[in-house]
Amino acid sequence: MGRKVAIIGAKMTKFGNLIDKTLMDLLVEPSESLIEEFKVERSKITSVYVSNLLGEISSRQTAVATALADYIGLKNVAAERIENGPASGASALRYAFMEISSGNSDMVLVAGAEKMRTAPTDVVTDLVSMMSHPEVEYPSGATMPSLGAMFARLYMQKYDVKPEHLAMVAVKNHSNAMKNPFAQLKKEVTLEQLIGPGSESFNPYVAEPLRLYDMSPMTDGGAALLLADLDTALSYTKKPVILEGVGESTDALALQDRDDPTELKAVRLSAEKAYRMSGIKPEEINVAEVHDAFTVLEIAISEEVGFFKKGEGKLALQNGVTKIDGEKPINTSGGLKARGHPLGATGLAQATEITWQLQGVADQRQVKDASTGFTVNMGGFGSNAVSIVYRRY
Amino acid sequence: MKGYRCNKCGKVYTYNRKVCVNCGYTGFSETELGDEAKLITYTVLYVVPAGIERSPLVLGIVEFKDGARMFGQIMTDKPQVGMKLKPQYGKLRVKDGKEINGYYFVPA
Repeated sequence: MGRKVAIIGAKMTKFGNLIDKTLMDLLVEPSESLIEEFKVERSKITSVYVSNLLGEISSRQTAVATALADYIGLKNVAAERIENGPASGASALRYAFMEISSGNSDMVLVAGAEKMRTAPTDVVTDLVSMMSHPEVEYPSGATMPSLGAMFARLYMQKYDVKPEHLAMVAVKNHSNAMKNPFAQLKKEVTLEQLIGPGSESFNPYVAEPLRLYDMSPMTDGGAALLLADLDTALSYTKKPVILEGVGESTDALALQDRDDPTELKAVRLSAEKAYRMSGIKPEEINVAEVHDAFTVLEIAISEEVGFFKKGEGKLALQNGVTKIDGEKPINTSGGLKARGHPLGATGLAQATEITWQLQGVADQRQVKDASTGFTVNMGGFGSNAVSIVYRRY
Repeated sequence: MKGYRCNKCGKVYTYNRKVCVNCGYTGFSETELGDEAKLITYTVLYVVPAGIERSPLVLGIVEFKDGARMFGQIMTDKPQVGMKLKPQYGKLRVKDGKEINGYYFVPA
């Protein structure tokens, strides 16, 4: 084992429709805010990772990590952009983890951002669908929601999950987002509005059986974290958050090629790797952020990562176990569903929420005495996942 | 429909692969899957990507004999899990100004 790796601090921009902000604004703002708050001498940061998917098209920009180093005056550093679909953020953290753990750097900046609101919806939908299988999915018009919907139909049938269970995820996560000043969707919703009589106009179908409120929105946003070896981190903060375990796994790229398409094997295996490295078990996790790009995923993932038995995620949800004051709070930030899902920034926003929870600064969303946390960030539709286990110092 | 059976684990694909994603083996045998497939899951998609002309678009995964699965467009207004479908070849979408052709499915 290498050195202990810790998060010194985490920052994010407000998520939403940020028409006046450029991709660089969304990377620079949280990064500068970290450097200022922790009074970091810029020369101490020796490496920068930037997670971003659509820079070429959203902003006519590549090599964004080099651009960030330039903008914030980091001289002669290593700077690389990380692209792993919507799991790019957690992948960037994984690179920082490996670099610090191995002793190659003492302090690393990780920043992620996405501009999704500039191009028309059908164009962004097409761009995002480019991560599907190029021969057997993309040509027929596969989109992430369509793959999510085909998964949902099979999963709901197998485990008797009803539309009201999906709606419960939306109600909970919208409610959590009301307490998060950085969240995109600031609107309480009720089960009646989402699935009651006449709900089709308020909550139309997007990809049957999934409806508008089963989907995460298109989001502009950025987030950044500053990481260091534990000794260095302790000279900047009394409340470092340790990355105890990091795991990643792929699965077959195309949904059709997975033996059981209701399984999220990449999620399960990445979580198992992270738990093993950390020595922390799923039952010991106090707070988690999971990749609820679609409501059904929050339920399925909560089972795959070992919080609940298969088929029992819906019961935990229904019984309030996953609420902020429940035994196993999930997506206290509002999740991808309501905090927003700016692809390249999402994994970092998840890590930011867990950092704040474990530092005890999550305000109205604070989970009492949280000392361990977990995130899982999915790339593609279940074809890649990165899990991280965190512990308060 | 032509299928490709992995000579090691037996997994059957509806498209030609160099390496089996299931077991990593590199040898395949061609096999005939027939023209009858069953719909195992589907969605009716109301937000279609640029390059797709049909909206709403029905998409699904069908299963041929021997468990060979294939994702594609389903040409029906009334999709139902379990319904019998057959493949047809034709235009699927436009990409970078060019037509892309391939298999889609119609009720058998």
